[in-house]
Amino acid sequence: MSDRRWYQDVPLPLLMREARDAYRDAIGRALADAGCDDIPRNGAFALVGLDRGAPEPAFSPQAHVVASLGLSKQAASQLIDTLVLREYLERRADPADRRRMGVRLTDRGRTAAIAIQTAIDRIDAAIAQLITADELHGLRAGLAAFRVVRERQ
Amino acid sequence: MPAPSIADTYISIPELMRLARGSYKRAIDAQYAARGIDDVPSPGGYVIAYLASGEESIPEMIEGLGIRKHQYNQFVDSLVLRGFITRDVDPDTGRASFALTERGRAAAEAIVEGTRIVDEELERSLSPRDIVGLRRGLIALGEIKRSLPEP
Repeated sequence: MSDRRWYQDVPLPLLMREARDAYRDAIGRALADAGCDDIPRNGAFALVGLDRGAPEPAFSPQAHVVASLGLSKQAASQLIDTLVLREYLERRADPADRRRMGVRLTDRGRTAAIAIQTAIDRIDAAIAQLITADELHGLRAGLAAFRVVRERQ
Repeated sequence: MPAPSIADTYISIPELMRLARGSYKRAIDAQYAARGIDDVPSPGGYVIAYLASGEESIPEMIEGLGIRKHQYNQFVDSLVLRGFITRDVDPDTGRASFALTERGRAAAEAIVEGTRIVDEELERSLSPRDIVGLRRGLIALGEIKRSLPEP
């Protein structure tokens, strides 16, 4: 039997794909366990960044939430619409400026956000057991560099 | 004082991964376009890359891609129909084997070239220590993924 490890000589794009799946699978399972299995793509990133204070989480400007996703404005707005429709987010006009919209987590949204954060924390803790702090810095620096490379293309 | 880099600002690793997504794809798509190729199904490029590297084990490919067998079969069907690979079935064993066509080899060249461009840019942007950390971190995440039960 070969003692060759699966990752030897594996190109970075494949390592990236595998690595992304670690979080995706853990988050997907946590959401399914929490009864929140209809979160659209990228929805987890929108939910996890919002205030989770109970019982009345604060509203965040929808424009900020949309901008932080780094998607096209249309795609981000559609994502927010879907999250509102599926009762993860509540949307209302800002009382101070009725032209602006704000969003906050519903109870269902809070349940989902907590499940997402718990799954992320679990994977973060597992990775901290496997690599050094220097390597973790390299991982973060490398991922950040990918974005810069992509934007240069 | 220089602004802190995105790596030093607190952004979760999955968020960093989301922001990093598409770096190779964009570079490889440009190489496909330069060769007149615009119909490689996603993630068919990975299958082409596997075949180009001599990988013939279908279970290994499926595991590496993190997809299900039926999805794999769909990608392979598309690659055959679009002229990137050929499928031959051994009449004695019934086992299928695959090979790249000329078009498939052109796509494989595009993948290698696009990947090389991004890898070289990364090497210019990062210290050798950070490159090691990036690989180690991704490998660790891959191991964590493999240790999780199937979703």
